[in-house]
Amino acid sequence: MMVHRRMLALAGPIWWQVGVTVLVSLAMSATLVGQAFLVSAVLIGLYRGATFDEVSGLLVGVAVLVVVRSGLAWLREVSVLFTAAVVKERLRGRVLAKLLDLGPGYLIRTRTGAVQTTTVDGIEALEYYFGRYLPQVVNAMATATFVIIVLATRSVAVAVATFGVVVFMLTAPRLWDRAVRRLSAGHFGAYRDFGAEFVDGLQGMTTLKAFNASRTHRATMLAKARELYRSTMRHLGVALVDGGLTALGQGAGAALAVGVGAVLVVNGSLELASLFLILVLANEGFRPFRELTLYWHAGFLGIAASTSIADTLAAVPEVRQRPDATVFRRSDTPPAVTFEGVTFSYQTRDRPAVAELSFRAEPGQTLAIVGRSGAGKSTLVALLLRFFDPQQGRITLGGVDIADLTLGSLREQVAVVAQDTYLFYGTIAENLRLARPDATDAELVAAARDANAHGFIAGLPDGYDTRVGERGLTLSGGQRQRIAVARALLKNAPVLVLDEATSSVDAESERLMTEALDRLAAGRTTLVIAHRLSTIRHADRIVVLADGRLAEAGAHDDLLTGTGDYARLVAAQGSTR
Amino acid sequence: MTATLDHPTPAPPAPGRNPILRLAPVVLTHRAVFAVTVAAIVFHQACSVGAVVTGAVVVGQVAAGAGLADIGLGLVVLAALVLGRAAGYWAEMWIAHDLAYRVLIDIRMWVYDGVERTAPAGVQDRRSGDIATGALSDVETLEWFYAHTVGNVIAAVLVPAAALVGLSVVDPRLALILLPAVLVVGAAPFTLRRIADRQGERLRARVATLNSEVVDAVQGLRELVSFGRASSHVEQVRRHSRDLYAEQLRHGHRAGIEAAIAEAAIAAGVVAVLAVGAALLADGQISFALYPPAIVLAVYAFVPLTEISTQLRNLGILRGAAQRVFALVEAPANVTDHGTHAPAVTGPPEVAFDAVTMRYRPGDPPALADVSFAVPAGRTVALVGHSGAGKSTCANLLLRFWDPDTGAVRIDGLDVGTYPVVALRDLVSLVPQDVYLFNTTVRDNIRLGRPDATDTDVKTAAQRALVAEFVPDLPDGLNTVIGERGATLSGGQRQRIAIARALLKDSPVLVMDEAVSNLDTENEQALYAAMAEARRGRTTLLIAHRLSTIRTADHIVVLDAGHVAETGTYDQLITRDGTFARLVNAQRDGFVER
Repeated sequence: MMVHRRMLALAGPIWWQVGVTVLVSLAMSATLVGQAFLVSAVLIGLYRGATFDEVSGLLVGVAVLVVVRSGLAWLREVSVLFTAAVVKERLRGRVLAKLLDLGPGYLIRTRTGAVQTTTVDGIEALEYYFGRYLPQVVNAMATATFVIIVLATRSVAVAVATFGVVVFMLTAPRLWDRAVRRLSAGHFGAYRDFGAEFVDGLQGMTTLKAFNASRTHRATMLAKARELYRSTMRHLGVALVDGGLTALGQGAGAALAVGVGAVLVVNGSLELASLFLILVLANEGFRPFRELTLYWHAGFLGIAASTSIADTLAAVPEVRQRPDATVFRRSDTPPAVTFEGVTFSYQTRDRPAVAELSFRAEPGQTLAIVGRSGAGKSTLVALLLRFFDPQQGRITLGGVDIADLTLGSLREQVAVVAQDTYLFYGTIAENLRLARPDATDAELVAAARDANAHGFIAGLPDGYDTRVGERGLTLSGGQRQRIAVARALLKNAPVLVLDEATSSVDAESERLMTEALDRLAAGRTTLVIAHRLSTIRHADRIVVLADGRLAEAGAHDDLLTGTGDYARLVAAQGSTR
Repeated sequence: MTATLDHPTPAPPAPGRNPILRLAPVVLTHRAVFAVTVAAIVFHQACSVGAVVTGAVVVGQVAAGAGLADIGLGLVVLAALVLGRAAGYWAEMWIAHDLAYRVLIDIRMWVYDGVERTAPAGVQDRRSGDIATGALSDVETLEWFYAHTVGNVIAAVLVPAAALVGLSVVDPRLALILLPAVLVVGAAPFTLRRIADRQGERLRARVATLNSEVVDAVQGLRELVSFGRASSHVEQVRRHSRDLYAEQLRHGHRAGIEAAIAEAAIAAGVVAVLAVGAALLADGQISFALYPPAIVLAVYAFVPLTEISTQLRNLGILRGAAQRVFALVEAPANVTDHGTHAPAVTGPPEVAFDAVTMRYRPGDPPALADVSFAVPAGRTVALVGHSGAGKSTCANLLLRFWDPDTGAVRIDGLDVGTYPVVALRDLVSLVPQDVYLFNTTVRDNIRLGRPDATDTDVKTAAQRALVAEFVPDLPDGLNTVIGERGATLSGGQRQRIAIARALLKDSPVLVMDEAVSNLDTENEQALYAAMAEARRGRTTLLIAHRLSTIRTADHIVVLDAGHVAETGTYDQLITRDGTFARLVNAQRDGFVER
């Protein structure tokens, strides 16, 4: 229990926010201690045979403190939430910014549900630690110290006994710290796993049902739910030892003070009036520890989440922007794109996805990249957008190494129409404006028309204001891709990448797509990643990849007459038509 | 506790209006544990109050001039109660939480079952983060109820009652004067209940929105980053985050008012006992030795009450969470599984659509209108048409994700509704348009429909679907975990795994929804052969758009805006100047090398 350096490091400087809550809590404790003095005075008075009128003044004093304290009780609730909100807002901001920093390259290795639980539930769970527990630590220490000092003025023996108990409460639970840290990380890990598995199952539920596999998946979920139970109870086991020791200390402290005091009075070394004070005051001195135990327990998921949050914040991004990075300068002509001896392997793979690859896309021309699935084509896009950096070689844009550009300005130059287009929960118009937030309605319609998307959008129940579900699943693959083309048109970047953009569209849509793409490619340097000859036909130059390496390159007609991979690919496709 | 976890998930509670009241009966499935929980709570609280009262009694004895021998017993009892209290705390917390987290396992599975029952209709319009909040943090919130509320309510009645009895032993008037305060503290959490309920509902909804936004941001990060919109999207997430804090703060204001009321009532009660006690004492009606214990009893009568009222201040949130959980648990199934007819399918059956009309929502234009066609046993019918013509709807009806409004889909002459859903889905394999791969190994993804398949079976399917071609490139072969939604694979690779899945499942009916569209040419050709092989001896519904695919079908059904526009063989349709010919012409234009 008590304060954990790693938790403080997580929150950053929050002294004054915690301070506000500490002040309110201290004021509340002060009224309680004040009340204890008054009550003991009443006791002493009555013991000495005072009349009711003589103690009534003291009782009025108690009533005043009560009124003050109930106001403070309200103030504390509010200040607790304020403190917690500041910490959570700051931390969530940092985690989100970090996720951006880590980028799509990192997220490919993580699970949506895991990121979600860390960023939302994990940070929410910190409310108790920072809002209530931390201020209460200060409050408990201050109140106990004050009470011990007051007790010392009456009896050193009682003060020493009480002090001993406080020291016990502070030190004994530290022995469990290491176990708490280990088991708490396991606890949140199980929570995160359950979340990740649930989201995966949820999004794939149609597939699970079609394959009668939802029962099997249920068994997996049940196992995860049980594992969550087990790891929660393991964490709770040690956390409760902490709490139990504090609870023991709290009870033992007050009892010891009264017991020692009573014996001293019987011995005649302490006057009875002091014992009344000890009786009331010792209880008040330890009362904040009781709340401390409650808060410690209530914040236990937050403590569990802290490791996960800290790990996210400490993760190393795939790419970094150089401190001296510059902004790309656009000119009237689109830039050339070159790959120069580029080699890249994914972390988890032995074989390079791309090896010693060099090619050049001339300004305003179309370069097609063909090759079988897994030949490394899509990796090129990830490298061009700097989701990853190559281990060797460099990529240039208009003659400038892309590593010298700011990430923002690099990505501004490139528009991608990918094979799977992600649409966000929101309206079609909002999804289109992703590419240009200030686009007018007329510009949206114009882009949609050019993308051959206006027709179907206009036919939707609310037109451009129709909501599309998460991932755009209420639209067909072809419709999603035409929206992607409209987005790319709106973005108006000088470099265009079509990543198997016509792969999942039906016959009619393919014609519309091809038209739209031709419009889109005009006046841009275009990289076409495709296996469809229809989209490659117009390319000025074709690069054929095999196993991440350049197999051959040239114009369509030149390659066709050869006996290389391209001629074989074309022959294969031709024969199926 | 030592009880195992291997019990089947009990049935969810019966419908009712108050979600909180519906949570309670669940503990009765764990009756013994619940009884022990209450006993532990009462023991803990009794030791707490007992220790303080004993301390006060000792002081009272000393004041009355007792010697060391007289207070010896009191001191021993005091020490025992302090130890008992710590043990009681530990036991209470451990047992109560064990019960709570056991119940949460069941509730999480109810949520899963609810989602399973209603998908895809019930979940397609909702956001993943929203639903996941239900299964995760809404359920986790219910822990308050099971670990800190249900048993504590009982303790909060018993302990103050005992304290009042104790006080009335000293003097009944003291008990009488304390009673109103006890009632006020007990009632304080309910004073602003309607506001609390509204706040709780909004608060949980905002947590869900925040979750949904984060899921959207994570899954769409590539798009956000490449459009340079990442920071503005993060700003949007933070705005939702601040909305949540604002709601929490409003909740805090209200909870604070309730806390103030409770605090004032407690103190008023204590002051009243102090004053009345002082008056009685001054009047000589009670002895001084009883005065300190009386005051201490008055103070500690409230401890379990304040603890429970701290919990009850969150009742609105609890209610909001419970409401959201029950909404998922109770969502009605889109189709009812009332079929009892076990299919006696030996060979490939005939599949027939018989005057099928279907709307996804009442008031929508029909997705299918009076559609009739048949797929003869063992043959392939290609469904052709524009996006949104109703092709995928046919697949949805055949698999009974939805039921038709009128008409029937029949297998071997029997309405698909007459088969148990599980049996029906054993009959039909699906290669969907949006292939969904799970974050597990290639092997387990292929084995999805037949978890008991042998390695040899998996390898054979992988070979036939050409998965085996890229498997050697993966770091761990078939045991490679392929990332969420198959993120580390290309579209063509994902498609091939989906086909291997269907091949391994080996059902007599096959539905291929725009399959093979992501394959590269060389593989496509080989895969056609594999698919032709797979289709042999199966009744196949092919949702196709590639000429090469369409041509291989025995029969073609052309759909247009939910209606059957044309039917016939390829050669029949190509010579007519109809919808199909127009589609084909458009397709021809798109290709070279013809």
